[in-house]
Amino acid sequence: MEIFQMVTTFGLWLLVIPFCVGIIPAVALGEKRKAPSTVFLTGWILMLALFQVCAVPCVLLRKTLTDLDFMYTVMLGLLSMIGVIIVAIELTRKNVADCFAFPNTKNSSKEEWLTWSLFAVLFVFQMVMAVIYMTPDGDDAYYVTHAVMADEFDSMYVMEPYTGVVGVLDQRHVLAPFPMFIALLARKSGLHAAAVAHTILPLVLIPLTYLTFYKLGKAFWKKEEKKLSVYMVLIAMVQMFGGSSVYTNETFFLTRTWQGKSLLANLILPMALYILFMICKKTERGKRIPKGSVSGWYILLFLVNMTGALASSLGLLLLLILEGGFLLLIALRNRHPWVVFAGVGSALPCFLFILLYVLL
Amino acid sequence: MIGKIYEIYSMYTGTGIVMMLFFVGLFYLAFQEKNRSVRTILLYGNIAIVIFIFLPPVYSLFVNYVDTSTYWRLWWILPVGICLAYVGTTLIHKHRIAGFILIFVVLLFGGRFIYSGKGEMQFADNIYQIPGEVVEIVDFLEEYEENTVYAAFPPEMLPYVRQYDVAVRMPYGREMLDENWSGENGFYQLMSELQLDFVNLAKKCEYNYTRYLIVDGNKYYMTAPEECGFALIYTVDRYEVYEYTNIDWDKRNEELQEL
Repeated sequence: MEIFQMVTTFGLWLLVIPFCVGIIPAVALGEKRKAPSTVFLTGWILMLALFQVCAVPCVLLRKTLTDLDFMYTVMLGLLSMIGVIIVAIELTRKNVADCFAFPNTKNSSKEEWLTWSLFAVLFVFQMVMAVIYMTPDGDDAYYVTHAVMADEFDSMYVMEPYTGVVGVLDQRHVLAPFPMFIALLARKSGLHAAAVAHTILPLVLIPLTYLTFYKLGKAFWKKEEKKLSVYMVLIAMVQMFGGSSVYTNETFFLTRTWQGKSLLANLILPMALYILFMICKKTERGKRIPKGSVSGWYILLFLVNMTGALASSLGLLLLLILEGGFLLLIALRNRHPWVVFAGVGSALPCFLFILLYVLL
Repeated sequence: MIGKIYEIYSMYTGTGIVMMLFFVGLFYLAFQEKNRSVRTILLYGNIAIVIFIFLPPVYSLFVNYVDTSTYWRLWWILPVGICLAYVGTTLIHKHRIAGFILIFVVLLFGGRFIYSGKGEMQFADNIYQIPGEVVEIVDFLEEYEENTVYAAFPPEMLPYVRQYDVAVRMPYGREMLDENWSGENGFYQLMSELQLDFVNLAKKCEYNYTRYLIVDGNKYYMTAPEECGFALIYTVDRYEVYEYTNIDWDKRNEELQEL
């Protein structure tokens, strides 16, 4: 029974719900046929961004994890329903193939299949290692313990994690409450929060990161998709051999996957880069910009920034630097100054949470 | 100040070979890449970020207003892996097998295999990915003690105990291992010595109302624990679990409940 509860909970929360809510941002992106990879990836971003919106007020108002769970589940349920309704309406007008763009493998050569197989081997290897290997990391004593405490005591950030005495709110960390997301998954599944963080989360965060790399690769080689498999193999190799020091994002990716910092470095920042690349591509000089074709990307950037706030307080600054610098470059290169001004709107979560950080 | 930034860069990049490949990749993009958007993001964008990170005023502002010890995280903004994979793909996609082998060899010698066993990576003992002996000791204590467990653990166990069981209360925690923590704790100091002074440890247990003491049995004991009021109640691998018996714990628990 317990295993059944775990499997259904994780299946629902880690796979089904992201697909349902992901329909909404995928529609906002204005693609005629939605790629399932886009739906899943943007669904996760929306899901995490919504968690930040619910969690920070709950933590600051000293609400319980149960309160947060109720609020978040209701809101996510509503968004999922909206997503399902959108698809249902679309399916009454079009068939599945016209609604969703599934990868076309008909024209793939044997060489390409082999390269994809090599990528699959590297990818599965990393997933297996994430489960069977443990990397002791002192920071977990803070982050994971907070998740365990929230699940056990139904309180958020009111106890000192190292010794167990009742303490005061740690302002730096409560504004980035990703451990509470772990606590929520633990609460729903009945699995210990340390197991959720160390063993379950990597199984979804590693694929999400590779999905982001895949989307970026597809954007790089829209007309030369044969290169995509090579790119994916190389990026998987770079991840595996990227442990030049304990500080690199590759090290964080494969040894501290469940921490907010790793989420920032390996999902949020590459996702922001992907969005910036799409904005750059869609606003290239001399190209006609179809109405509404860029706005969806700014909305997605807004959600990515919100998710960045969930992952790490310092991440907000990194996102501001990345987006500020790149949007300025895009504006100069593509001669569209509005690109920067629109970006200010997307960066509102960064400004808001930095302001909160200063005020608290 | 440039020296300090370079020091952080060196610390981040390790051998520096991967980063050197990245800079070579930027040169390649500068001379070969025709795609305007790729040039904007991967070439000009990356150059702008590198210059930005090396600017002394940026470092100064960051250290004074953000954080003194995390400047290295700015390197996360640079999409090194993406850029290397992009350049690598354009170079080898027509000669895949030879290309993969070449890049594998370069990464093997220039990078570091994440699972090489250096650092503290090891096979997980359980689904929690917490050392097995910690789990076993905490499970034993929870079964042995009817009330809240108050226990002092050796330094190497500090990060894990409360990740597994937040009901355990400790006189000191993982903050002792944090290089940024400037406080002192006499109990921890005694526990981290190579020679264990049970006479003074008994005083600490008395003062902190710590009922259980977990020590590394391979260490040298300056006095026999039994002579100082400790009773051995459990052993896991090299670790020994002692109960401090000079306090009437039932009375103590009653006092705590009255509080």
